[in-house]
Amino acid sequence: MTIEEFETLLLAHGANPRHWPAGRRAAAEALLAESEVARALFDEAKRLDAAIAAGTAAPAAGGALAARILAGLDAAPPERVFGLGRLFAWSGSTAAAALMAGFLVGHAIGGPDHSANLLALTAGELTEIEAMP
Amino acid sequence: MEGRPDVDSEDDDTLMSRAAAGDRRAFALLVTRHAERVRAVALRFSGNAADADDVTQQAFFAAWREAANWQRGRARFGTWIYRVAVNRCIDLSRRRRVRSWLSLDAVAEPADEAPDAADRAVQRSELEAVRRDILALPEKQRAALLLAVQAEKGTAEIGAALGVSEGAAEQLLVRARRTLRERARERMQDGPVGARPASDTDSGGADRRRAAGAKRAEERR
Repeated sequence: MTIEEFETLLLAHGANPRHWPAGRRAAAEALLAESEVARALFDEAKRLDAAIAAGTAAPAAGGALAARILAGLDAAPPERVFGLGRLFAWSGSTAAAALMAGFLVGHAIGGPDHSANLLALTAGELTEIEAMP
Repeated sequence: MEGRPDVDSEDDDTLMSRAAAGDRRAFALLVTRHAERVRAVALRFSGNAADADDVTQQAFFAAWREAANWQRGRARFGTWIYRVAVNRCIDLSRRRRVRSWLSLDAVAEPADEAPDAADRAVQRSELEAVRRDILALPEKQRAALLLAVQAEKGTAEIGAALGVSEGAAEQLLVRARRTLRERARERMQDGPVGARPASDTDSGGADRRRAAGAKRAEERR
């Protein structure tokens, strides 16, 4: 690992070796052990990490924030619309029931015997209405 | 033992499934797990406590609405909620800028918060300088940095939250930290800011930095 690569590692992941990608950690630690420049960069990165941590620390909002969120849920109820899959499942079973009803009515009032095709269609063995004679 | 499952130990996906069925206790646990850190990211992104509260609430309302459509394994809740929050922060920031440009609104000032442990650890003026520097970072760099530092996300999750590749997320972090490092170096050169440790502010520290720079140049050759 070069000094430039080590510097990039520090800038990307900070000075905590636990945050360094596993594939680069060993090389980085080896460089750190042998290079004074690497150690200087590392020390500077540690100071920068501390400054960023202090600068980004936020006072806890406590339970009040959670309470406000939960109290506001009534204004934002979960969407209970059917998903697309559920809609297709619903329409498929409805279509099958309609076909079966049609078959039974047709059978009762007579006419050409398409009962085998209708049953096959209902069962999903035929997929197109054109398949029927 | 039969009875209600222990939701405290359930993963976020399962809690979202329960929330979809209207289980407020499950959703409350998601809020407890994630809201503080989401707010911390929003606070340091916007520099404004009221905006941070609003962004956090809106993000969780979006999660509540999304629960019915949540698909296990499609995204991690702990990444998705930051994506929503960061997008809202960016939207808010852009709207503020437009309103400011149109003189409809004052530019938001960083919240003046009570000193906490972190404030005591770093001298106040230096801390304010660092906060200003962070607020001055470009939006995506700022978001990447806050997700790394505050939300403790790795580059893969940061990329997912920001809609960029892992490599791009790493570059955002490199640019953000490089800018902050340069600002810190400039402040050191301009003179001590508050009670900085002696090793950082004395001439010996400057000499060591110069020597390190020279040695670095030598090693690169």
